[in-house]
Amino acid sequence: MMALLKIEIFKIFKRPRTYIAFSVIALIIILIQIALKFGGDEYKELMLSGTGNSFEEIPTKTILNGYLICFIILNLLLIHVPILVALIAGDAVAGEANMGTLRLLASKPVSRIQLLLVKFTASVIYTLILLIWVAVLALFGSMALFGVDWLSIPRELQLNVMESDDVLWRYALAFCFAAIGLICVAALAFMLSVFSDNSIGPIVTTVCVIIVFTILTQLQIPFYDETIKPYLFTTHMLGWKGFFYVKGVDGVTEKGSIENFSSIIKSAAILIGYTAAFLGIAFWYFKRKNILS
Amino acid sequence: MSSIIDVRGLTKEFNEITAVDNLTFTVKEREVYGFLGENGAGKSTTIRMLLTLIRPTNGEIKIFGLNLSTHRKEILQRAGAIIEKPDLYKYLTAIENLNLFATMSGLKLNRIQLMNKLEKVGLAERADSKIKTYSQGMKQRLGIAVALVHDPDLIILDEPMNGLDPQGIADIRNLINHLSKDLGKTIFISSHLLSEIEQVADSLLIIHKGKKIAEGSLQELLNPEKSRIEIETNSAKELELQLRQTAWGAKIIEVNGEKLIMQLKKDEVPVLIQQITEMKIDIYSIHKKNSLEDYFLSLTAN
Repeated sequence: MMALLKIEIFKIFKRPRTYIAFSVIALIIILIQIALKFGGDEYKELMLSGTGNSFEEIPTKTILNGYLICFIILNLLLIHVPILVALIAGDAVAGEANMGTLRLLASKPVSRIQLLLVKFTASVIYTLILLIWVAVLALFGSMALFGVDWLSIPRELQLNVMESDDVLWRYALAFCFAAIGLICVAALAFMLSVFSDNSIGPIVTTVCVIIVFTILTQLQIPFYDETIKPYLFTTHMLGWKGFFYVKGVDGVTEKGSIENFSSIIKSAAILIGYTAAFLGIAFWYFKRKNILS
Repeated sequence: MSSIIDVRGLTKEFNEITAVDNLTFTVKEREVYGFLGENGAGKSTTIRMLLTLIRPTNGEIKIFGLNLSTHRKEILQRAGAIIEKPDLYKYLTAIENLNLFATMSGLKLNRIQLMNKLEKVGLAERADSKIKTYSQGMKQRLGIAVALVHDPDLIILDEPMNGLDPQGIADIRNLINHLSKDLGKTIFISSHLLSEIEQVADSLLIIHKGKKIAEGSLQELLNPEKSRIEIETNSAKELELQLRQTAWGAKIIEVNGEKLIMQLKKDEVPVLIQQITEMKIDIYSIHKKNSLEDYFLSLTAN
């Protein structure tokens, strides 16, 4: 099993297209960091204007520190990283069918379940490496460039403020949660990949699903709040933000607190449920699939 | 000799189309078994069912005496295959491709062992070149190396000569003879190059529209006692008309332009020639048509 997994990872990282994802992520993050380095004041005004208060007494460099920059980057990358995950997971089986290598793989003394399992595990490993890459550039890169201080996050009409020594553990958990969300996207793309003999179809379909679901998630229409949004996995992918919503009394935040931890757990469970369902369908279908490519 | 492949009542239906219809055949140990049929006759579907790529609708496949549906892994460990064109990972080198498929067959080979395998198909010098730089013939040879990397007892080759130049075809023919005669491998080979199959196969199975229409050894099928004779005359139609009025009429197969094709025993040929001469019909040439191609065409013509 380990030998097969090594093969799959070897194949993924031997393809030049794999590195496009890493380059795109690096480019986006560096561009955001440059923009905030030189245009931080305007961004601070824009960010704080939503709270309806003036925080002119807080120096820009204090607010725009590495922790906040990472939070901004993660918000902006919400759409992009899943697309890059879909590029690999959507290609996992369909790409082999397209190349004509699936018939060779499936005629080897390896069960189809085993074959699919190593392919999905390899896609998950790629996803996690991509996420670590985001963490290195967005969090540690921003910490190095902008320094660290208290994290102030605008939320509705107030600021959620966390002391600097109360932030890193939140990012650690947020990245773990993001991993669950991205693995769910990988499972969707992987499932679609099993149904197709051409990788374009599953990749484009996954991207379309993410875009449509994200739009629905962000629509401020009360009717959708109860009817559709709770069932969209993209709604629950935003659960990572919950680690930065703290409890507070009279404007004083409670250190080490999470406002609604049970909601985060619920979102994680739903994402895991979706992942299991996508994989279940993929395995059920692939075991019976006639390989004609 | 024991049977290596034993297929009983194999059927595959795709929606309302029956691609393979109640096929039964046996391949014996050390045999080179030719599998013939026109495009769309069901050859690839059958081969894919032998390799568990397609699930049969009905029927039973036993390989090495084991049921394929319950002993898939044990069977595939002892079988190697090229299925249509040998598509490999173009962005990997030959040695990387070979190593990858060796690992999938449960082997752990070092570079020297892999190079030896490539040496046998004449690719050692290009071992570290990416497949995208390979010619069709080189890809085909690498495909063979991949199929043979785990030293299988049964080799299934689906159109292995596709896209090869004459030298490449001759190389494959020699390799098949070597594997069969020297190493005692059992080979199941499909090809549309009938003359090539004729040169390597011990037995044949011919299918048409998914059904078996002929099976047997080459000698049995191409009965030398009953040859197809092609007679070129100044008027094949006139000759046919006159022969139809005699007992010779039953032996006419077809008229093709100025050529009359008949099924005759060896000793009937001089008698017929004498009679045609008496009919005042000129004979330009007489050919004995007894190739596999003629036999195949005669079976599938209708």
